[in-house]
Amino acid sequence: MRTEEDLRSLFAAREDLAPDQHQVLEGARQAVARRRRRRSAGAAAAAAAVVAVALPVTVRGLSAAPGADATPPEASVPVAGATSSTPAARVPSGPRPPFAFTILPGSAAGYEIRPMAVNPDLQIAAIRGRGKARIELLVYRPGAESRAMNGWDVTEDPVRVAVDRTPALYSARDGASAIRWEYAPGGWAVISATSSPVVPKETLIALAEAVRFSAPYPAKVPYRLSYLPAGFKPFHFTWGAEGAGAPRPVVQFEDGAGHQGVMDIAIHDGAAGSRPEWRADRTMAGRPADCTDLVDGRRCAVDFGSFTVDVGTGGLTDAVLERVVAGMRFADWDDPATWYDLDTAMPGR
Amino acid sequence: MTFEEYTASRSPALLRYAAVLTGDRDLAQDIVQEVLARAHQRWHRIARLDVPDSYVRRMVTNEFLSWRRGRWSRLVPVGRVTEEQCPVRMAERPDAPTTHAERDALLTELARLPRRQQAVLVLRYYEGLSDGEIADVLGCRPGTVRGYAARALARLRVELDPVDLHRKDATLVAKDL
Repeated sequence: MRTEEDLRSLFAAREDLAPDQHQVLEGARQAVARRRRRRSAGAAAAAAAVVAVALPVTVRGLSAAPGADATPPEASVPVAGATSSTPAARVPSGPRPPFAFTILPGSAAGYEIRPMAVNPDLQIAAIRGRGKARIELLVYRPGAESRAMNGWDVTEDPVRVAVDRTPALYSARDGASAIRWEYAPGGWAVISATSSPVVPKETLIALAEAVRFSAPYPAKVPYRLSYLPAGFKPFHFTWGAEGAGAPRPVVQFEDGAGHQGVMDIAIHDGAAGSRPEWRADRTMAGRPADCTDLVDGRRCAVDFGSFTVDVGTGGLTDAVLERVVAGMRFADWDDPATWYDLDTAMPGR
Repeated sequence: MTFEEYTASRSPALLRYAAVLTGDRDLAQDIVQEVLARAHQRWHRIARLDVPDSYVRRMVTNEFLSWRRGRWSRLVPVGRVTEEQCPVRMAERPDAPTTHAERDALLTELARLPRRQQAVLVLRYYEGLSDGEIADVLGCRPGTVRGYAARALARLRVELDPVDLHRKDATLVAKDL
């Protein structure tokens, strides 16, 4: 028979697993910087944004335009909308709607570029290769250059380089490297990488030179909302994924006072399944729901069978959450062609 | 207390707590990183609390409890420690092989418990909290905490110390009354 002392001893031994303090604080510092950068760029959504850049996602059906240097991915994104008649360009051809992408997906220098997140000021793409390097492309709206500068994480001792004969800056520090260039007048783009060894400068330049743009194609969601709390509106969209090929569109909302992250709605592939510590003790919109209380708010996963609506809030009541979910009208989850443009999926649009 | 002062003074203990709670170095790192990043955003409010550390630890606990597959991928790891850099080094301890195997088995069984039960055990046997204090952390009643603990201990086949048996008896008596 075991004793309580065995447990105390076991837990005490686990202290050996404590991570390195310096490493964790540096990670937290980077996370704060990323959040501040994205928030200052109107994005804020660090969590969702990092989903965007951190996850391997099979992108479905976005065909690259003829003449594109980049090879289109094999599968397709429901956010697709780029038409084959749209030429790929080194510079976007015009203004971009708030929740539309212009980054053209494709592959270059052994990497795949996958547009993943968008908000009115910023587009984010994940860049993935065979290695473990975590690379992201951030394309700021023209006029947001100061924000791009603020988001420049590795500013120490930048080296002047050129991207398509355009002046650019390369910098590296502590396993992180980045390149920043003005892709269009007043419009800055950054490719940043975290890996060991550091991604070579030449690779980052090649990636930067491979970035192409298409006509705007909208972010798509598999639902329309008929109700949102007064003043609520989307401020950030992420095309995430739980696993390879599984879409996970996430929309984050801000309230009328501009407080971001007051609510988010994510759609998962498949049923909710059992999740430890989530209480499956209620229904929402007539569907089984698991809810949990976190320090910073409440989350509920509502099981619709083939997909799950995961809605979280910093302060809304269950009644309001239920009203939001009850007001959702769904497209065919398995047929992205039926999905709605995010801009038109909101109440009153 | 500023956020910087807090992290300088309290993060080692916070990291140890996360490590004990999760039993996983990478997960502990991800959790603390995420919690500190979030705490930084609202530090002006947390700093006004009587015991900011309790609140941050509660955030760590909640983050652990709300873990589910896929969620952690949103975090940005800043490098991993290799296995040889020190997992729990049972073999280096002066225990007999039997003890090592037994502790290994206990670790495995502990990991199979529901996370809320694991948290109760860590809070009770590592943090030394009372059932009432654990209830505050987990946002439930003390009776619920005792229920979690009893089920966990039964599954792990842990014999209560006499003092705990006495406490259990007292609880039963009080309940009967």
